[in-house]
Amino acid sequence: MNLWLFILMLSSCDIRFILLVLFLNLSLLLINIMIDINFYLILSAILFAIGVIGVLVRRNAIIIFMCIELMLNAVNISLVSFSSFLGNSSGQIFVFFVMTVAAAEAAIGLAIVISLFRNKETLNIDEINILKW
Amino acid sequence: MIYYTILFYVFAVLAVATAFYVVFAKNVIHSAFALFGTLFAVAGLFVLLNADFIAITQIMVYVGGILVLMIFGVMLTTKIADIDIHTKNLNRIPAILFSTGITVILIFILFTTKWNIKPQVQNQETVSQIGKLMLTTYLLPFEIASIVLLVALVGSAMYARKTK
Repeated sequence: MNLWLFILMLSSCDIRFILLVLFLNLSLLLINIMIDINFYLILSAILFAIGVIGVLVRRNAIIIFMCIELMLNAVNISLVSFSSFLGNSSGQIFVFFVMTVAAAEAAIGLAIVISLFRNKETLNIDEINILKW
Repeated sequence: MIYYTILFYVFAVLAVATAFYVVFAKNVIHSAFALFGTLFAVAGLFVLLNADFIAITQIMVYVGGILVLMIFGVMLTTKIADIDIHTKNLNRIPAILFSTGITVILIFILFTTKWNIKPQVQNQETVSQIGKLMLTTYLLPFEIASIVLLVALVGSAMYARKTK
């Protein structure tokens, strides 16, 4: 299968076809790898880093909340994957507590955001500097 | 087994792509709806990891509760008349460098650690195990979590109320 595709790739000079064949070969290679715990942990690390980028880059308070939820979800993925691959259900309990704290944090945070917006008419966290002196 | 692998890649790509959209979307509403996709993809990954109850809880709590609360927050804090819903970014390059560094360090640690893992057991019952652990070993944190939720409920109602 792969050899046949390779010969076809060499015989044609269409760059789109070559890219398609390369993509197919890459996906065949990826599909044949067994999914183990490292895949889930790498995905969790990538999602956590995306959340960190969001917290550092964006200036809107609600977007920062969403990025915190992203980071909590990344941690949940790694906890559940450890629980599944170690055969121990305690990790899933921790995920429940993380979800509880996330729900409480979202409710309190949005209440604070709404009361801030009522007082300052903005959500830009560079302008919310009442506690600075 | 090959369906498992394909599903893993589908959910992983969906989660990462929608997470990028959450971070880099100009419109706050768009990033709220992209967060919807991320949470559903993470729920799918939980199903792949034999954690069905956690997946259902993820959909109920995050999508049904937290995300709706976020969208309420967006709607309550933007005026429809002006176009202040778009926000600008800053410090893009240092932030991206910093978080890429975090990712590289984490992946290096992952590959250099010997995990003491067992092969996955398919179709094992999770709900009864979670219930037993929740009411025996983790009973005190369970009760404290209920107190945290009660305090958060009262506190958020107090904050969001109009003060005279």
